[in-house]
Amino acid sequence: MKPILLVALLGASTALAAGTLFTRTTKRLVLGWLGVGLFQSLFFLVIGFELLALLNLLFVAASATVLQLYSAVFGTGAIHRAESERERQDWIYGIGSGTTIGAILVFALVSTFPEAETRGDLAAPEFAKEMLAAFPELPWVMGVTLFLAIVTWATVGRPGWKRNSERSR
Amino acid sequence: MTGIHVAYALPLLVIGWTGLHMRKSVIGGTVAFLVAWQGVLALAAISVFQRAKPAEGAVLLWVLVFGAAIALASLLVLGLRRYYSDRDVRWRRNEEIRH
Repeated sequence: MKPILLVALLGASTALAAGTLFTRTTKRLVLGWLGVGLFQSLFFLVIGFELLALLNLLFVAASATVLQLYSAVFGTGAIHRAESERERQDWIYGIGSGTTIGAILVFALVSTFPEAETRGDLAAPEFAKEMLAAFPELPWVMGVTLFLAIVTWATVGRPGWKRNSERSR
Repeated sequence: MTGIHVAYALPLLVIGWTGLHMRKSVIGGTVAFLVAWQGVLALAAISVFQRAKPAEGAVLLWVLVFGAAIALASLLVLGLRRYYSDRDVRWRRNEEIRH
């Protein structure tokens, strides 16, 4: 029963987060964030981290208040206009980055270590040793990937919310 | 001990990361960051929950505090950066700040 409840709570917060991803108005953004935070707090409560659940709830309320204040100061209209203009390159950029990080994380958590579910007590040094034994070139690959990523981030375009123009506020 | 794979926390991370790249406004970017942060927290909570001593989860509270501080600071920094980048602060060209 408990695993079903946990997965349902995670699923609910994921569905709300996915909905929030496609909203344009500030009100829905903040409400979506509140929903995600509420379900996550319930999740923490069910797995037995009561204090974490409480702190998360407080954090969600505080951050939603800050977001509301920010939108009140800088204007909801400008935010709505900026979010309404979504071009083809934004979709390519967003879905491309999402797919990449998803593939990397699935590879790291599922494919490489299928026994991670049952092992439970996974110590970090042991994890690193096993990872290096399975893939000795890992530091080089990570270094080159990080270098290429930094060069790409610095040179090829910028995230939409960092653009310097009136419409991107 | 309930068995739930840590990979169940991945969708939140992926959605947050995707949103961070697709959003156009500071609020959108911050909400995307916060969603991704909830994914990180869920990942940590699931892995700690399945350890032999779940009391070690106290460490998570510090992770949360750091995450909260980073999220709120990033909102402020991005907002101020946005605000000042829209202002023409060149003395000779801007009538508003000349006097």
